[in-house]
Amino acid sequence: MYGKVQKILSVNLRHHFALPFLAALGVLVAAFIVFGVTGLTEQEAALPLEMLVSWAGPVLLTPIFLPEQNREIRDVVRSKRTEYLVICGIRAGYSVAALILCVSLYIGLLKINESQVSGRLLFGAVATALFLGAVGLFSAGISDNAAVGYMVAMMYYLVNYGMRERLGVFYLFGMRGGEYAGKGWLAAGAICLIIAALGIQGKG
Amino acid sequence: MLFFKECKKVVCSAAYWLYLAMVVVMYVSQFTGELDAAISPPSKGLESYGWKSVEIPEILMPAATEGLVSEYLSGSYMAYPFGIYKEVKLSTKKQEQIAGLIETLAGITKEDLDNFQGYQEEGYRGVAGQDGNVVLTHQEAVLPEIHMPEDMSYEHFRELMRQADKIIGGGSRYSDRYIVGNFSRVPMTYEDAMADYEELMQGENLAKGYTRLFCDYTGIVLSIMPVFVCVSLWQMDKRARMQQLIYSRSISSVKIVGIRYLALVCCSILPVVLTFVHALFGVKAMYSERNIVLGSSVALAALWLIPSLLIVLAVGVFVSETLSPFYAIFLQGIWWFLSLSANQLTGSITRYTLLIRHNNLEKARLFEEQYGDFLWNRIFYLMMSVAALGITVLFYDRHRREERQHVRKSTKNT
Amino acid sequence: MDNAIRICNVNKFYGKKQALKDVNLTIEQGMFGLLGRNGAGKTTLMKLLATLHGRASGTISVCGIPVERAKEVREITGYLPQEFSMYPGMRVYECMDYLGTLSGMTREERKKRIPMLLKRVNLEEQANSKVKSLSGGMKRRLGIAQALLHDPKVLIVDEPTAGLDPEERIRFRNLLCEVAKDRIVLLSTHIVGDIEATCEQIAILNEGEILWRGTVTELIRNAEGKVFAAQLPRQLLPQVQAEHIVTGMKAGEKLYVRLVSESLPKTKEEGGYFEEVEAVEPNCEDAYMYCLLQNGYKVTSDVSDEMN
Repeated sequence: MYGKVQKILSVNLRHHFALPFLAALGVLVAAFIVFGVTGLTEQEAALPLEMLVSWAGPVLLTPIFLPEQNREIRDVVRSKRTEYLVICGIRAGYSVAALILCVSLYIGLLKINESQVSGRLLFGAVATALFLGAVGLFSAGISDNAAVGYMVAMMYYLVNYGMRERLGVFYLFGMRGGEYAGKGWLAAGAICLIIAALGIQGKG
Repeated sequence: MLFFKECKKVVCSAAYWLYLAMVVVMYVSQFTGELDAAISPPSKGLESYGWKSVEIPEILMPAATEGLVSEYLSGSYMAYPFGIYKEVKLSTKKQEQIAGLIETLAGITKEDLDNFQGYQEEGYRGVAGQDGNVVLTHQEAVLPEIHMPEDMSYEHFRELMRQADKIIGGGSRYSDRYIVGNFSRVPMTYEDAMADYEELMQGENLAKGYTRLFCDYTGIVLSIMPVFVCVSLWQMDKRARMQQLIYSRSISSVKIVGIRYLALVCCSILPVVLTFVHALFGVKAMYSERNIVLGSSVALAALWLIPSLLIVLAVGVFVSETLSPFYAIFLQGIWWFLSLSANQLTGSITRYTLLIRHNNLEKARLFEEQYGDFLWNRIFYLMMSVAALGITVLFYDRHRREERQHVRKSTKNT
Repeated sequence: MDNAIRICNVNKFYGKKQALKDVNLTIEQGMFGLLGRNGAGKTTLMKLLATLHGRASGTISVCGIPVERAKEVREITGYLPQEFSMYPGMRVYECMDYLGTLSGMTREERKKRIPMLLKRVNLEEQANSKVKSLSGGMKRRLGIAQALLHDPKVLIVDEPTAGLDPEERIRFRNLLCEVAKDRIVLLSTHIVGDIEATCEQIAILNEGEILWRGTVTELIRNAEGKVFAAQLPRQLLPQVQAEHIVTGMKAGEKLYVRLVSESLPKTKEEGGYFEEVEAVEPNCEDAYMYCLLQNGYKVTSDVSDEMN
């Protein structure tokens, strides 16, 4: 079992993870260039985390089903003994781990540069990125199209610019205003969406 | 006809309907509120009528100098290199350069600056009140005394400020872009507000004001969402494995790429036209007692929005064809975000920004002052769209030829 | 131990369209051919057996295992889809290794079987090549290799020779015959020649229904006395095609056609079109066409008619 998981992990990391991970790092670099990292208060630090670093979520999570978007490949992979759900679960696992790593890297950068960071800032940033990514993943799962996944994630992001009241606890940019309560809901919502997406695609 | 077939492909894609939904959502959530009630003239006797930036050297010079001294003493400088706040900390050498400028501007030596005690920046401080609540009180900055040379000309002063901006790395409060807005603002009077109102009510300004607002909101969507529709169309061939079939046909690459692009443009502009027509009817109904002239509004909207759509689709098509559709999404996303962040909501039209912003019904004069840059910007992107499309055709044709060679080689080998 | 695939009263719908209608079939060890037109339901049936699709009703068991126990069925089943593809950036060996892992094989088993299978399908030299650089024939061979990798009891191959050149096709058929010695090989195709050359037992599927089930010999015998060779003037061909099933023609000074018909076609003297008519031995293709005709399906052999 361990050998199988290790094999699936190594093959997928090698062939399907490099590009999304590079893109996520690109998002971090863009955030570093665009925003300042020095001497920010916790609320000021929330700005780059919520507005740009959160895009590490869709970049990492949305393409989880992409390798099998080609039906021909999907039929071959699904006809094997190992459930497709297991493969997607492994991909989701390392993608979420990479997301947490990316957000932590950025927060570490903030800390090194004497900005105010905290555990709740880290949790909030991860939850925001995870939720946005889960929206993309779920949309990609039900539409069977990664481009639609990215599109829906972008739509949700745009809607957050002007419809704060309607989004309630699922508003993405709460930390900028010192609100952290909604982040728990975002995290829970993300988990639900990821499970639902895996369920829809994994079981076929 | 091939054009209608391509339009059908676009319109039947999920991405197109999501795009359409986004245009409508943006319009309904952001703009339709403006159609609830007509603008009324300002009331007399209000405490504040807002602020206006007026370039008055007598106000600007001392304020900007104080700002520079304050930031030197605090050790960090506010900057907006991409339009978003960034705190800049300078190296010792650069701090020395700033100190040199301060000595010229304010007559304070570096030694005096470094030895100054009791520095306090301007701001609000929380003070416990008698009832135990925290009361915010404004506190003036505590700075060394500034002695500006009397013979310093405004032009020389501005040159020194540019130098300071360059040392800080650009985008600082001392740059030409931000200096007036940061250091030379005066409160508006009732008369100022009334003048703005009357200007808005003149001729075509009212309709144009609403058009600017419409274009401001719609432009945000048009600068990113069409790329998904483009990617979806470009991916269709790949998913259906149609590429070889299409490559082998006699139709020219110019025609295929051109017709597809045209189909994308026409289908994408359709919801924008519909919402714009709705907006114009709304404005006309709201101001039914006035003779609203709409002609130039249509021209303004077309000039504002169409180049944005053209360039986003052209770049999308270009990157999809040369790299991959997903790079198109990623690159456009970054470009969109930088553009959105780099602009103030009103009055910061530059020659090369993708997103033109003017989130204000009024300030027509401000828009007119920047009209030259606006026109340059739109023509620039129009030309860039054509260029991007042309290069796309070349790459498409090259891929076609490569595919034919590859097929010939494989047939030989097998 | 049940060594057969048993399909009982299976129905399958895609929306309102019924893809399979009350299909009953038992497939024993050896080569079994599933013959039918495009859109007959062959791929649908294959995917049901490979546990890729669910069905509306009926039961299916593969070597005694109901398809609901998908994991167990997949353990003993190898599937080659109609259009085979794998991740383009993966190398051939790596692809086999990965699919072998997904099939539950141990490292040692994979190390032993992959080189053996690549040799068997003549892909040894391409072991280090990327999948995207393989030709169509090579990809198909990779497909059969991955289907055989975990030594399955049941091999399901969906139109494996479509698009292959004659040499590739023969090689493929021979390989399938070899592996059919000790397992069930279910081959679906619309190429009658493949069935004739390899299959002992066949079934004909049309519009989701099984029309016929038996051996190739029995199918051909069923068409005896129903196949004719005739000679006619060229200008009468459209009328002949409108009234008869023409399974072959040869053009010379006159036109020689091969017909499938319930009764002896009439000569000119009898008021028909033909100058000469004689009954001939049916081949498999004739027998297939006769089977469709016998079951009341409209069979058209007039291409120009379809194009108009």
